[in-house]
Amino acid sequence: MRNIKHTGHSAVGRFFVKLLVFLLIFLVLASGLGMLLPVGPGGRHVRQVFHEFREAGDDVDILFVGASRFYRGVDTPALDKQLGTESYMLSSAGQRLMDSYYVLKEVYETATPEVVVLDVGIKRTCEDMDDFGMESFYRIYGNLRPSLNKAAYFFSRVPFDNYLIGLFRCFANPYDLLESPLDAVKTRLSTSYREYDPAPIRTSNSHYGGRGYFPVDKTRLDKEGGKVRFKDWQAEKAAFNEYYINQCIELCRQNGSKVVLINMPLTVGSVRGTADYDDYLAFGQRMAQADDVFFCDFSMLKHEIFAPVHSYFYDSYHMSGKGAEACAPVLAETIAGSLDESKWFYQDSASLMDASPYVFNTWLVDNKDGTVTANAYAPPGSAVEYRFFYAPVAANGEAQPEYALAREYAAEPTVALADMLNGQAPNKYTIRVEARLVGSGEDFEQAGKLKVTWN
Amino acid sequence: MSFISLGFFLFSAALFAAYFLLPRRFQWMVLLAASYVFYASFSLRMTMYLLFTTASVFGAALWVDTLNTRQKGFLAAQDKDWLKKHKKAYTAAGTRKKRGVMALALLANFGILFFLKYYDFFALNLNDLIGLFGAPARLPEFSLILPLGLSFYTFQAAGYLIDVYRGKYPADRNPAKFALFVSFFPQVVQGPISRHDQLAHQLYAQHPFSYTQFKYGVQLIFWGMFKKLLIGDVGAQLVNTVLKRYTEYAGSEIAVTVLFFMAQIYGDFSGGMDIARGIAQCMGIDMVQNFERPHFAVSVSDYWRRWHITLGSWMRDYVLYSISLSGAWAKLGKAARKRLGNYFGKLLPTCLAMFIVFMLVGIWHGPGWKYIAFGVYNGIFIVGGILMDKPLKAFFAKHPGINPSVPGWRVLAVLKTMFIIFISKFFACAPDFDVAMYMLKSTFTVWNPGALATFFIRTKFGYLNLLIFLTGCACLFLVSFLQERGVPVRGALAKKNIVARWAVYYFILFAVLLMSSGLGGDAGEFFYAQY
Repeated sequence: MRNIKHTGHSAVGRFFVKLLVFLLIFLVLASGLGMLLPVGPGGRHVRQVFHEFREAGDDVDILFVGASRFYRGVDTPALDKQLGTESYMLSSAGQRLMDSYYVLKEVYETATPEVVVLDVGIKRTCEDMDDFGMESFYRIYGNLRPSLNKAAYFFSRVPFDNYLIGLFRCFANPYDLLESPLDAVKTRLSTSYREYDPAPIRTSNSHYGGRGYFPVDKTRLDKEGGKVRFKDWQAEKAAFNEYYINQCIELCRQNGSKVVLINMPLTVGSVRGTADYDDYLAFGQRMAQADDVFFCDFSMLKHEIFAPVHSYFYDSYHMSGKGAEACAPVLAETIAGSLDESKWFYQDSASLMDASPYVFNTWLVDNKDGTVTANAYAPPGSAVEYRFFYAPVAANGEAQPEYALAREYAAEPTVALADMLNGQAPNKYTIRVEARLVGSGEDFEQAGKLKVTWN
Repeated sequence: MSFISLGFFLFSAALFAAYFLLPRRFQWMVLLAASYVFYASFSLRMTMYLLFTTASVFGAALWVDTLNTRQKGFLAAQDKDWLKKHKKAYTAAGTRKKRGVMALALLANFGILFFLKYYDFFALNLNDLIGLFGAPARLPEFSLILPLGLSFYTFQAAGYLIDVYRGKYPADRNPAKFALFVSFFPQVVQGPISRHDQLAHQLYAQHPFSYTQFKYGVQLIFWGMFKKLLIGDVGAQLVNTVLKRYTEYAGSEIAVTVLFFMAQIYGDFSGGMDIARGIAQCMGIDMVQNFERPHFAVSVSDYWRRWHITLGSWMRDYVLYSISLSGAWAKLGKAARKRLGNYFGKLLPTCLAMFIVFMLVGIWHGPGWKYIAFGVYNGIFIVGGILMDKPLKAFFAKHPGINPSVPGWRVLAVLKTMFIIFISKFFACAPDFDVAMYMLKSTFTVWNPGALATFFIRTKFGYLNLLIFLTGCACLFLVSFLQERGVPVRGALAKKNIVARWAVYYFILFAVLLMSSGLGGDAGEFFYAQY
């Protein structure tokens, strides 16, 4: 302290008092800014489920822990009707396997469910620390009770450079602060928010279904189009997540819970679009054997057990409410342990695709010679037909919503822009293709689109 | 470890604690250790280059200094007769030896700089040239990685060696202390290019903690971050977007982009300088200024006296003076005066030397024809300024009604200078010379101002970013304007009551924290660090 003494104790003391006051005001202001961040249904949903779960106490028999594919695809109320149990969904958007471990640790402080169903979807098992979005962290961290577990979660999950934005969400979302600050404050201060009213947890397309279930009412699969491609299977990243799966299993075992590992259904197109999907299946089966738990990939369910029709999916990754309801009996039998593994599942992704009853991917390719070609993934041996539409792209980059028919259904996949856009003004155009199996009763089965320049 | 990261914040906090809590005699050692840790955090391997420059320049300077001392001692011991007969020859031989040592060290260090920074450009162009003559031989290209701050620390070390050679001051005797002078972490990445007689004694001195110095240092750090994040990084978003697809934009949009680039580069570079100076100031070290409100310059030469001041003064002291005072230049001056008359004959060597200096300033920025064009362009206006100086003075003397010191005239002069600088920035911001020429042509031929109506939407820059950028620019302009008027801004702020002062502090602190995380991966990378 020799170097500081000369300034005098009172000066140093004043400096530290000022610093402390400055930091306290900073804390208040930074926390206050957090109040200005928008409160969306997604954030309210997670807040609600943590609250409801705490209210339920130790009454939960089956606990689902995972990400959005769980809370969209597992109809907990329907499941309870079938099994006569109390199940609960403690899932949140983008929840990682590491997150699930810390969520489970908090669960076991107040409850001991008989069965824990863990979401081991392919995307979740292929994420590493580099993929860790902060939004999914905030959803969980903000709803955990102050504890050592919460502190451990913070330090495990937040990269060192992000400690500040980990503590103060406003610094991670500065642009959101100006979105609708007054509405955000109003919402946070409203009675419905403070009293956990589930009614406002809804969007134009989804509503809160109770017990953590947040179904989507419609499908947008027909609008998505394009070549569906997910993260390919990545063994190295899976090793990172395998550690947390094992940690979860170990934790559940220590607390006397049975563990089931599940991947909820994907569309056939998603399976087709994921390279090395069978390696993922092998990974799941190997882990199940090693840990002596049950692993089920519902994407591989035989179509006579669960047919993955389009209306069962909100998009190519999440199920719709209708799909969740249809899947509930299968899930119930799985949890009850009465499913026949050898009869229910296709052995590999090729067998699944062979059996697909429809076109499961469609996309367009610009051949750069004035033509575009439609492509489709369809069951082997089946014939596909395509029809084409166009719409001019508006100045702000968005396509006009009204498409004009350019060519009716035909087997020829390649069309010339000159034939399609003849007489149209030079502009950028969005070309849309719709595909279906020849003889299909559907209006169309898959759609894809592409922007082209027409001079 | 970027200046704008939590890691650097903790590093600085630990450094300040060690610097002020350990006995003062260890302060320079703490700085040396911190400087090498900081540099090694970017690349341990590249530290070898830093060590080589330090060792070679330290050794050469010591050798030169020993030769100087020995020479002086020898001459002092001789009698008058000997001195009369042999002094000139002895001194010349000694100077040759010293010059040889210095040249060897400079050649080694500038050789590394040339090889790592310019070799590929040289090889590429030479290959093109010999290709024109159908020769099959080709020089290989290596795509070498440039060590961080190589140009800055090489120039700083070279300046020191030349000063020792010139006998301006004796050589450093302590290699570790000299290593600190070369590697001092706030300046090693992007300058300023400090002089030994200005910085070294401060680095080696013992500094007690001063609350005022520390407070001013922290203020400067946050002001630098404010400039860097709100102007530099936000501006870069628009500039990078447009440069990626420059052919898709109208001339008016490209002009706006280059204006943004002017602000971006100033916010980025001067912001980085303020952070560096602020860190040093916290420890009681006063680093040299690198900027003096260049956008208030009334001429191109005035601009270069205000922009990247330490590079300009380095070029003046070690290149311009070396050229101007050389025997060849004296001969050139003599010949020019004979043929062109006294006025132009006197100016020609000066103009030529200035032109060479600005070519080198351009080349210093990097390998590429755009940098050479940048140097040539600035050189032309500098030379033009020198040539016009006397006629302009005569003009004003003849027309006493026109007063160039009135504010209106000054504003016009600033605008004229900024327009000239604006054109030069096309070369600085474009990825290569051809793109710069395309953008220039487009600016003056495909103006289409109507396109600006949707410019910020099409580039996805958005009006919120525009608001942030303009707020940053307005704050910077206000502070610069007050400083230009001679108002000591920090002193004036210190006189305000605590509420007003803290309101300003919180505004800057929150602006910095919000922008540093909101900008994601780009935040914290400094434009000039690439040089």
